[in-house]
Amino acid sequence: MENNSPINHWQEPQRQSPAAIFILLWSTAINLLKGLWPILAVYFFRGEKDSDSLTLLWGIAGFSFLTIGGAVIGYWFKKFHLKEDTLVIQSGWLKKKTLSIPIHSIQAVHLEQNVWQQAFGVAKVSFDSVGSDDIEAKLDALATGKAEQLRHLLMEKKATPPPDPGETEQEQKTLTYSLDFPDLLKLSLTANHLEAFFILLALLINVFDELRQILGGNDYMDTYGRDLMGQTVLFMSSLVVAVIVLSMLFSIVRTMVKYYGFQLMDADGRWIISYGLFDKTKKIVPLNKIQILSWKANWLRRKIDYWTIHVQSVGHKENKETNIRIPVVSFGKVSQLASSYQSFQGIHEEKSLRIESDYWKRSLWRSAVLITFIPLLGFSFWIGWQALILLLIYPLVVWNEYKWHQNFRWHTNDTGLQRLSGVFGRKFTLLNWKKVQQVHLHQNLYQRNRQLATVIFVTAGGKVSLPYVRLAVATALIDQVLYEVESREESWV
Amino acid sequence: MQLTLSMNFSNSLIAPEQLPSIEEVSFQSLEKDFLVVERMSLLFSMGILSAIGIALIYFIDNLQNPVIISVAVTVLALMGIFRLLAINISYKYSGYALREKDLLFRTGWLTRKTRIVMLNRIQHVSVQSGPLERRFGLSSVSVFTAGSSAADFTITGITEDTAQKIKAWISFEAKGDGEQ
Repeated sequence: MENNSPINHWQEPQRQSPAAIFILLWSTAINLLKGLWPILAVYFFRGEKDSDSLTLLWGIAGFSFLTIGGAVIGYWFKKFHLKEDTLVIQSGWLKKKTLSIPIHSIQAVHLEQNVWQQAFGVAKVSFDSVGSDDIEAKLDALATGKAEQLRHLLMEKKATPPPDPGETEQEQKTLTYSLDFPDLLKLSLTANHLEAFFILLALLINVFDELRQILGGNDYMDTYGRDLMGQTVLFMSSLVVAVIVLSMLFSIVRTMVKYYGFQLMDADGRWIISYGLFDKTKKIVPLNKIQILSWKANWLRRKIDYWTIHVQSVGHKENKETNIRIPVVSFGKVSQLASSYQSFQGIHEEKSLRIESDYWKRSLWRSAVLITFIPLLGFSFWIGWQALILLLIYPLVVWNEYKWHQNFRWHTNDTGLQRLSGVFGRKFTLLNWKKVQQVHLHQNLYQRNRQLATVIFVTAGGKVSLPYVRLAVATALIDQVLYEVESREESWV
Repeated sequence: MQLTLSMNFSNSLIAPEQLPSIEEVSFQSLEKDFLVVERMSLLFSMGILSAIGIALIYFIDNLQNPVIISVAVTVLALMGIFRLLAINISYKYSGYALREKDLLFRTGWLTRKTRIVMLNRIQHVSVQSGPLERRFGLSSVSVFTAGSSAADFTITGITEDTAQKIKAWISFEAKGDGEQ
């Protein structure tokens, strides 16, 4: 019986269950159908099937055969075993790959069964780890008993994780921050009205399109529409003002509804954020999982002291749950919240460090070539000398780069890095050294000639970079960070 | 109250200049055969691109124009020369270094990149080799740290034996077993 096999059995490289061949074939066939259905539909619904169509069918058959063959080969060459405290998965025929996952880094082992896996008595085994999520660490079909045994063995071997704070029922919650009605109004008035304008515009175009179809095509709308438009300039101006006012009202209401009842509570090392009038949202942010903390405000929001905190947690990606934004209506409150991650006393413009002026000087050439000269050349063939208007973009771009360089400040302390950037708006970024996973030092040709470099700190939630710093400063900083991370051995999560 | 001082405790001052510097690291060059593998891969890619180009010109009448063919050949030749230059310069600069606490890899030709991964941050390691690499006994080692969506640190152009040794060493050190 497989279930009673000794532990040593796992130390020998072994294949998945033979049922994996069918599972792989099935998933490959489904993928093929998904990819080829338009071609197949055209072929089968065409009246005449001449020699061209036959060639096409042969092509599809050949492609399918190769892909299915690949799936079978994939099964044959995929083996796994446990070697001491490591799970080893070997795969590939032409490109051979051996993946080693230390068992202590495995967070969870998932067993899944679709209809076919249930029919064959097998399960798909996948492994959650704090590492990359695209490493193909999965076994498509393992006998259910064997899969259970593997899960049990891996979980047994791995160190016991600390209790999940999400599961504790009795906890101390303190209200740290909330948005009152005046705050909500402030937030709503500075919302992205342009976005609302475009949503409304799209809605209007849609309504117009439907009206056109109801009223019998283009002729009616063209005739009466032209008459109406031609009647008065006042009508057009009123329409524009109405759309702008409506857009603003729409975005104000939308923002108020979204952030209604906003509360941030501090509960045993985590933030519990809840908001929403109709769609109620509740987000939990364990503070130890925050990798980078930043907050920013555009020019207008700076004037009214309204900031948005951006929390980048483990596995941060754009538009994902881990990507959390918190609206805050005073800089003092931002500093207070940020101190949960790193002590923040503000960035002193005079005492902090700056990046080298070569940053914007280089843009003189880069912008001249990429943004001005090449588009100018292209457009001049199309619209003639009027393309010269593009030259106006050049000083704007250079000025933008210059201001960004002028406003950039950074400094380090015992715990990490603090960075300030922006042109009209401002963005503050905090990074704790213990969160750093990798450090990169980049030097392009221009930087090499001037002994400059760009330093990039990579965390599990994103990157923070320091562009155009002196090479000596960059290497000294890297040495310091490596020392901090490697000597202290602090947990990053 | 009497204080008991531990004789093992030390808190000596470390000046920044005493820290191990990445500037002093001597990098290990990549295998010479890797240059051959890269050049052969380029030749193979150029062959495929040429075949596609020839097929397009053969089947599409509108492309059978001396000007179009000349432009296509020039672009392909320039691409080939550009890539060959990149391979040669990059090979000279590329290298890796293993230190007690971290792993360094540098690469690039126009923009040169040095990447440093701390061993206590490594989550997985993988060793892989393509058919052409195997023909020359070469492999590459990929290191995965937390939160990345793909292997973000790959040491290429090393022998199969070195790759396995590096993998074993990383696995050992990353677990903390390497510490006394």
